[in-house]
Amino acid sequence: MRVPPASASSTLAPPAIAWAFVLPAALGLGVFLALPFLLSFGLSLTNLRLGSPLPMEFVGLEQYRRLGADPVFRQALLNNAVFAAVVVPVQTALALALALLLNQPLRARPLFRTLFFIPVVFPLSLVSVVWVLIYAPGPNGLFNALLERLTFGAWTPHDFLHDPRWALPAIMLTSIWQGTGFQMVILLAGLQGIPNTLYEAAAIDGAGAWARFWHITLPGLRNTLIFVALMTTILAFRLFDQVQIMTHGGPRNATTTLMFEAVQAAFARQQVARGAAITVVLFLVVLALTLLQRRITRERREGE
Amino acid sequence: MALTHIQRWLLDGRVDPNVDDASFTSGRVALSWAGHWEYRRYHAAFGDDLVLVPLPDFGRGSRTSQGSWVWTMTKACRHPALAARFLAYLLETDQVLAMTAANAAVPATRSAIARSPLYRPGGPLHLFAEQLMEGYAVPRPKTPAYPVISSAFRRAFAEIRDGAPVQQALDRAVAVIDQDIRDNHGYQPVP
Repeated sequence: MRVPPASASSTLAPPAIAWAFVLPAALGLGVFLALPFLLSFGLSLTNLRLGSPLPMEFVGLEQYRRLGADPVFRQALLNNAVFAAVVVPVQTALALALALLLNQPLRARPLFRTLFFIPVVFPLSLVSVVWVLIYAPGPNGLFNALLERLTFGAWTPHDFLHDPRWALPAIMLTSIWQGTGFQMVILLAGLQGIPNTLYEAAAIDGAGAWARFWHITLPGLRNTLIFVALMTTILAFRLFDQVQIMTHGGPRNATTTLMFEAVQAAFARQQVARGAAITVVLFLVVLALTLLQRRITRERREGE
Repeated sequence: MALTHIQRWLLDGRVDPNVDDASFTSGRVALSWAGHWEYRRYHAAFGDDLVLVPLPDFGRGSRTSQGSWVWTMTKACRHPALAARFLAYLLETDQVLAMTAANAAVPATRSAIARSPLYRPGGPLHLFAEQLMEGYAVPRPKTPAYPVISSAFRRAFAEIRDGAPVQQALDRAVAVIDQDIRDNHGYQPVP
């Protein structure tokens, strides 16, 4: 006769104990995430303004209707999407390349790892201020001078942060420079989690470097890569610091973002309800992306 | 229109972008369109070679904006008599002079202007006081909508600076401001 395994007794514990264990985490999530979100959803259905003596009124979906009709808001949404569409693949690929390089048995590996990670340690606001100086217009600006040197004088200096065509790419470059190191470290950890025996077996089977990358490294990194891509996408939709410091949403709204518009509405114009509505839209975008990511990972797991 | 002129200067590259905040003090430009708050820094760089000149006249007279955030007393104030005494104290000539010596602003009373070494008649910054007293300065709107007006105008100016059609940028600012005023029922005094 089989004796039930000891662990079965814990599954039989009264639900009250399970709830007691869940409580601390649930409380934290509730107070700091769920409640503020519900509040901001509630506020987005009102006309709340900071410091107004008028009573708050329920206005239904009016804030969302106005957002839909506002060309600046649509531009912000588009800018976020373009930013994510460029930065996520480029930054992930770059981080993967760096991680692969650093995964080689180099003598100065810790040094390189630190060097590539340094931009992540700087506060984004500091990075932004420094890059404003790098992008300084005229031939004396660092970036302009570099491009002029590289093209043997064929480059005509641009005022990157005030040119509607260049401002968003300029912010992308800054963000990639700042963010790559973080993804690189995560991918490096993922790489080191792939058993070496797989590579050895493949090498014995005569697989070349390319085949090993394609059939061992990439499948082994699948979940890490998906996590990295998702994190970068969420950060891309949260883009704010660089915009606030480098362009203030300009030139002509070429770099405005959801977060920037939300902060402008709530704190520059005191229209808290509108700011809340924008953050709800931001939440929905991030939620949709997360669900999409879960769906992709599940399909791939089933395909394994 | 003044903004069309300014836009042309900026787009033609006649204005230094001043990213390092030193275009004037390092001598790259000969004219700086700035406020009294820059006086100390500019004076430290150029001494008595620094001259204050009137603003340009774009055809409708020379104009500047005027008005700042101020101290006030609300109806809900619990100690109105004390608050009033404090405000009266701040308005004494010595106190106005102390405050403006610290922040380099134009003294807001005639008696303080008369005693201020910078702003008195013949002082290097007397032009600022003259602008205020002779009606060249247009007061900023005294309304609770000011944060919205200021934010909308700032955005419109930035768009114009980057080449947007002037009328369109200003119309959009007007729409934002009007919407806010409607939303607040005209900012009527609340009983």
